[in-house]
Amino acid sequence: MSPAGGATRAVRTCTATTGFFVLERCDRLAHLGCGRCQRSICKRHSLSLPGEVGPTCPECFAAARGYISDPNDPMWAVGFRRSFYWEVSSSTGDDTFWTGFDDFDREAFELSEGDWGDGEPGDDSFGDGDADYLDS
Amino acid sequence: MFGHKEKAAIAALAPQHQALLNEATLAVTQSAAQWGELFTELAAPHPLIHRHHLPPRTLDVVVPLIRVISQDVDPTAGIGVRLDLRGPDAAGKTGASRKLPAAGRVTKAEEAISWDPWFVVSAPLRNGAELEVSIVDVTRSRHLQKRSQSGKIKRKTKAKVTQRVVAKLTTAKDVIPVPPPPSPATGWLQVSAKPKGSRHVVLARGKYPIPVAPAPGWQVTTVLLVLAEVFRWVPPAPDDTDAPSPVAPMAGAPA
Repeated sequence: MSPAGGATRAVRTCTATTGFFVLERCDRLAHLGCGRCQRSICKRHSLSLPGEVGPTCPECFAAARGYISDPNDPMWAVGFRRSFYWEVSSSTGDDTFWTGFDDFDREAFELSEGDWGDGEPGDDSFGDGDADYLDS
Repeated sequence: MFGHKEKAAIAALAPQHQALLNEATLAVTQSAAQWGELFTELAAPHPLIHRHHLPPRTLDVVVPLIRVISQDVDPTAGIGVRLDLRGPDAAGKTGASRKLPAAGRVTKAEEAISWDPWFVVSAPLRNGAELEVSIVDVTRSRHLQKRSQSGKIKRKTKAKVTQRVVAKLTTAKDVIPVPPPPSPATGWLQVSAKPKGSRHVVLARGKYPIPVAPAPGWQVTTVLLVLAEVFRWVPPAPDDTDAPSPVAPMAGAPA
């Protein structure tokens, strides 16, 4: 039904990606937006990163948190899905290995500067592709 | 009686946990939530259980694989799992040995093949498809008996282990699989797709030697690559194009 005045009423649904191989959208009513990628998220998929005021979607949460080794961690599956496809694509050079991911999912794979950790000594797991780091 | 406290502690655990500790086997169908409860219990160290250990591959392979499969299963649907983690030397896994032709100083040669299906899973997926996975370790053992020049008799045993992973995806009704572009990640697999009534069956088979010192996570990643290949043959459901952009203003929000 259109509200009075004839304007259509926009209803936003949660666009959080669910599943591991069968990727789907959550499709619940969204009440929030991710502070990092702006995707619409429902309360169930709203997470909060330490030091950030706004809500975060599971993909951005997993990207910021890094690798989680414990399968019993509630966020392990999202983080592992992200790392599994990213590692397979990068190790084989096949960018089309998993075409089910759309732009939203791929954006979450792009690490921003803040996601590289605190630069602990000896932790060069993400630094091998950084030209500035290698040149210095 | 020695160990009675530990036995009492084991008896108080979930039956699935008991089966893994006592027999290293498990055959059960339960929901993803029930699997999650079991895995949480498995991961927590028990203060009274010291002499009974979980069989190898439980926490580092079985738990991650079922956790991953659970992501694609409806919360109320049952995931059927049959585990046999007793190892390739358990009773009933090794076939009868056969004699090989002996020549030269080799006076006796025998070969035995053991068939160890240690992980079998069947799960109905949220999109109406069905997934079946099986992992089998095949060990070929050769026993040689040699006589040296001085007359001494020496015996040698050599074992070669290969692993076979089969993933079978029965698609939902009227879903037609499409061959994906070949990928170097899964080029080592044999994949086929055949119609079966109104459904299709996509079958991926992988056979490879087990590395002597595999990297951490190698087993899980290898099995998941086989699973990923069958899903690559099923085109994703089209997105709802009427869905508003995620940057669109909230309902009722000022423009």
